[in-house]
Amino acid sequence: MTYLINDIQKVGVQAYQAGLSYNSTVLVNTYLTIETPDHNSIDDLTQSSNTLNLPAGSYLIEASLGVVNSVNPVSNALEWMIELDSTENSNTGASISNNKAGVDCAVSDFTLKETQDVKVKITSVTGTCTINTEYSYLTILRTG
Amino acid sequence: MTYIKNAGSSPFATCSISGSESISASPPWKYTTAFDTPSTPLGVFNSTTKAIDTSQDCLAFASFSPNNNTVGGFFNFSFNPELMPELVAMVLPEVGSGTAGGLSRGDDTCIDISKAHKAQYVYVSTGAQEAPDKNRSIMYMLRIGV
Repeated sequence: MTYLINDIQKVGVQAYQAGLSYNSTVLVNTYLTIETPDHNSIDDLTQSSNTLNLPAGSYLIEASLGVVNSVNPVSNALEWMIELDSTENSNTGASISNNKAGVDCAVSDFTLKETQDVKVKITSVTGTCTINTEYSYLTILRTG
Repeated sequence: MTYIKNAGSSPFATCSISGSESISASPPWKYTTAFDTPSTPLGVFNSTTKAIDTSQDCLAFASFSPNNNTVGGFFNFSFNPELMPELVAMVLPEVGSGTAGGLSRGDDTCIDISKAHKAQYVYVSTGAQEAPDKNRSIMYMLRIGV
């Protein structure tokens, strides 16, 4: 008997969403705090202040930050990435900056055979930035 | 019995720009460096059409960040603009802080549901640079349906 996986697979998707916060002026090479999730249907996911421990599965993750800019958005800018097992593993999410447009989300996809840690890392700071938590979030989609 | 998750069955993919593939200008659509490197077997780059082909329908999002624009600019991009130029086109207004430019003002994402995903500039203002920041620009997709 032959199975064609793309023809028979029915994919159930679990989701997780939580706010991201940072309680002071943002520093490079530091991590966002992951708030208590607004929604979580991923079994066996655990979290501490800035770390999510994800169970095996295939994932698509988005991390978006809102940067407070009261004066000049070009002088104050951030870049961030999603880190998987202490390795940067996404495009560069970015607020608007001189000569470039911002990109709302850092996006990462990967498949895990065993649990791994995920964090959101600040990779560049220009000027002086603070985070607006109301506009900052982490969204995860998973199939097991 | 132990099941080991096969990365090849992931319904998700991200796609980056290597810089080695481009979509030629065919007025009114503009030259665009192509997203050509999918992260999983969900998508395959088609060097003829310059699209990321998927065997099943996928919901896809794409966002560009031009690499260096000292003159300011106005960008509008869309998926497959020759097929649906009026639909799901998004805008990157005012990029740059040089003499003729204003401050950066924003970004956005174009959205597409199909089996062939080709994000391309539709309008680019005079003097604006189209070359992408390859670290920032991103296309990502998820398979929908069965």
